[in-house]
Amino acid sequence: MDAQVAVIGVGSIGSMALWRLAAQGVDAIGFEQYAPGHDQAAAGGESRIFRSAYLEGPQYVPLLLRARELWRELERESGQQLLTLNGGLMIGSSDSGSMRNVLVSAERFDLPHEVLDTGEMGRRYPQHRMLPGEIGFLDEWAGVLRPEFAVLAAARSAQARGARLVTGERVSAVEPFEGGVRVRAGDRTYTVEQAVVTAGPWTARFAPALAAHVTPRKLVMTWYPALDVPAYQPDRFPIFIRESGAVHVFGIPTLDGGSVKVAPHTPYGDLADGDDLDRNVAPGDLDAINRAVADLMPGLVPTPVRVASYMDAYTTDGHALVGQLPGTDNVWLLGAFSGHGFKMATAFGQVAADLVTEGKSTLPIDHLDPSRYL
Amino acid sequence: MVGVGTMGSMTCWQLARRGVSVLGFEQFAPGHDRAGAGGETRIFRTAYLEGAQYVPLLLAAQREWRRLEAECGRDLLTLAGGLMIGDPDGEFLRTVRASIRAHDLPHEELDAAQAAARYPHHRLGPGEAMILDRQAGFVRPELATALAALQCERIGGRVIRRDPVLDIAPDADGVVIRTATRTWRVGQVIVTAGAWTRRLLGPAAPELDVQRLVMTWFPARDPALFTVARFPIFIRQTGGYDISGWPSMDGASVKVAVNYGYDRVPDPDRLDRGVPDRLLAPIRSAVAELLPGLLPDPVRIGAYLDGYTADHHAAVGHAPGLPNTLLACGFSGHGFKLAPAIGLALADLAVDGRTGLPIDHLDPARRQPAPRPRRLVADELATFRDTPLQPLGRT
Repeated sequence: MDAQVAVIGVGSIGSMALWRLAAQGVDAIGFEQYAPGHDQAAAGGESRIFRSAYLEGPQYVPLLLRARELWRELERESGQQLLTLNGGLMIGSSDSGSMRNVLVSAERFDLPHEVLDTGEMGRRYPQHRMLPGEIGFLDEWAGVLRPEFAVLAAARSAQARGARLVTGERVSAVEPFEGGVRVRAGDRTYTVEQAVVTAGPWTARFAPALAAHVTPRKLVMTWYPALDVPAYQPDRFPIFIRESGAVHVFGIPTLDGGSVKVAPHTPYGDLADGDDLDRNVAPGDLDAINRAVADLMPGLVPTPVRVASYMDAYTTDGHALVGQLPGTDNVWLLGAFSGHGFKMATAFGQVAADLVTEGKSTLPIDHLDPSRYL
Repeated sequence: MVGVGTMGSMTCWQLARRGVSVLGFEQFAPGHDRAGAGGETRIFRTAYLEGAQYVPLLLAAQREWRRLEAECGRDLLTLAGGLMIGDPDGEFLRTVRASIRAHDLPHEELDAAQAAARYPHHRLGPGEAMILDRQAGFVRPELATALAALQCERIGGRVIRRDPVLDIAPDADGVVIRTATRTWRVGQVIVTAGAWTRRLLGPAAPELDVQRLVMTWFPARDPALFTVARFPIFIRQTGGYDISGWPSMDGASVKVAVNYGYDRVPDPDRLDRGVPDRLLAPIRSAVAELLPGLLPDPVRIGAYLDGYTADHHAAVGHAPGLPNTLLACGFSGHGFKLAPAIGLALADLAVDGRTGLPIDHLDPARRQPAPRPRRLVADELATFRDTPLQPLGRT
C-alpha cells in the first residue's frame, strides 16, 4: 500500500479533507492536477462568502457552525487570516421564500442577527438602492473567506502533519478492488485502502452512475470600481446576497483597495466537462450584471474592471453529493457542491475524515447522500 | 476621441479641462479589462531603460497623475520606489544609469551585499546589483481609466459607451464618424484605439504586432513582507529572465509577470483569456528561482494585449496623409505610465497644433526599421519543458 487514503483533487474540499485526515493521524496522499491554490476550477477569484443564516435551508446550520470553528482552527495552524466576519446582508422582499429560510435559520439556531426595514437600510447601507417592500437581514456571523489561500493553508498544514502531495499529475482512474483502491496518476499506479474523490467540476468522470444528475457550469465573477473606496471596505460594507425580482446577485467588500466584486448568483451556462471551460466572456453576456449594478449600486461604476471565469459542478436538486460512491465500499465522494460549498469546505473536510475513519459522520449529511439519485 | 482606454481617457480629460467640446467613443466602457489597461497595477518609473529622451515626458506624466488624483479625489499613483535588478555592467542597468545621469534623478545604487541585506525578497545571482529609482512606483490602470473618463464627463465632456466606431472619414472641413448606431460630424478626430487603430485608419497608422500579455499573481509565504512599504516594484533581467513585480494589493498575492508577450493576437476582437498551464512554465520557473518568499504556482492569471511597433516606440501625432486626424498607438508594452502626459500632448496638438512636450521621437511618420523577431513565451517553452511543479513546503 502507498498510503491509507488517497484524496483525488486537492481543491476546495480535497485540501480540507487532506488536512482533517492528517490531523487525525491518517496516512494520506493528495493528488492535484495543477497545484493547490490554482484558479483553474472552482476556488478562485479572491473571495467567497461565509454566512450562517442559510437561505438554502436550516438543515445546513450545524455544518456551517462546525465549519466556522474549523476555519478558526486552520487560521491558528497557518497563522493566516482566512475568514473575516464583517457581517452579511440578505436583501430581498420580506415575503420571499429565501428571506423566510434565513429568518427560520436564525430563530431556530439562535443566530445573532438584525432585521432592517427599507428606511433603516437606506440610512445604514446607502451603498444599496432599496426597492419598495425590500428589507435587509443582517447576519452577524457572515463574512469573507479567501479561497486560494485557504486551500493553500490546508494543503500546507496537511503536509506539515505528514500528508504527501502529488502535483502536476492528473488522476486518470480510481479503481476499487477487494480490500483497496488503485489510483492511476500520470504513468504510475498507487494502491491505497480507501479513496476520497473531491474532483469538483470533474466529479462526473469519477461517478458515471450519477453523471446524469451532475453538470459542470461556468461561473463568471466581475469586479466594479468604487467611487468612494472607504464606503466599500469590510468595516462598512458587509458581504451581501440580494434577490430583487429576477436579479440574484452577491457582493464582497473591496480587498484590493479599489474594486468591489459583484456577481450573479446563477451560472453562465452548462459545460459538457470540466475540461471545456472557456475563460472568454462575450461583452453582451455581462449586460445583465452590469444593469443590476447600475440599478442597485449607485456608488459603483457599472463597467467591470476585472472579469474572470470559474466553474463548479451542480446537481439537479442543488444539494451536494456526499457519501459512499455508489457501488463501492471504500471510495467516498464529496462533490457537486452546486455553487455553495466553499464556506462549508472545512466541515466537509471533517466529514471526509469521519467517513474514512468511522464510515459515518455525526454532522447532518443525510440529505446529501449520493444514493438519493439511484 | 475614438477609443476611451488608457490614452483616450486621459486625452478626453485633458481636452475637457481646456474647455474643448469633446466626444469620446468606446466600444466597451472605460475601465474595461479587454485590452491594454487591466490587471490591477502598472509600473511607474523615471529612470527609463527605454531611453533618456523619455524622462521629460515621465516627469510631466508624474505631474499630470497628481493633477488627476487631485481632481477626482483618489490615489492613483503610489511612488514607493522601484528596483532595477541585474548585472551592474550589463546594458540594462547601464541604460538606467544613463537616464539617471542625464536628468539627475534621485536614486541609490546598491551593490550585491547591500541589495541582499535590504531586499531579501530577491535571490540574487553572483555580482547582481540593484538601482533604486526613488521616483518609481505603480499606477492603478483600470481605476485611472474609468475615473479620467468620469472626470471628463463631470466637466462637460461626453463619453459614448458600447457603441463601436465602424468608420472614420476625414475631409478638409472635419471628420465624419460612423458608429454602430449613428453618424457624427466633428472638427478633428484623435484615434487612440490601441490594437484596433490600424483597422480604423489603414496605412496612416503603423503596423502593430499585437501580443498577448499575461499577468500572474503568486501567494506570499509571509504577506507582511510584500506590502507597499516593504516591497518596491521591480524590473529584473537575470540569467535569461526578464520579469517585473509589484507589491501586494490584496494583502495576500503578489503579481510577478514576464516583460514580453506570451503569443501573438491575430485579431484583437478574439483575445483568448484562457492561458494553458504549459505557457506558465517560464514565469513559474523564474519565481521559483528568483523569489523564494513566493510560492511558484499562480493563484490568479489575467490575459491582456498591447500593440508593438518595430522600433518599440509609440506613434503619437498627426496621422500621415489624413487631414484633421491625430493618433496615438503602439506603446509597445510601456505606455501606461505616460498616459496623462500623452493626453496632454494630444490635447496640445489638437488645440494649438503643437506641443512643448518632447514627442518628436514618437512621430508617426518616422521610418520604422524592418520588423525583427521578437521574444515570445510561446517560442521558449522547450527551455522550460522539464521544470517540475515546486513542492509546497519548501522555504
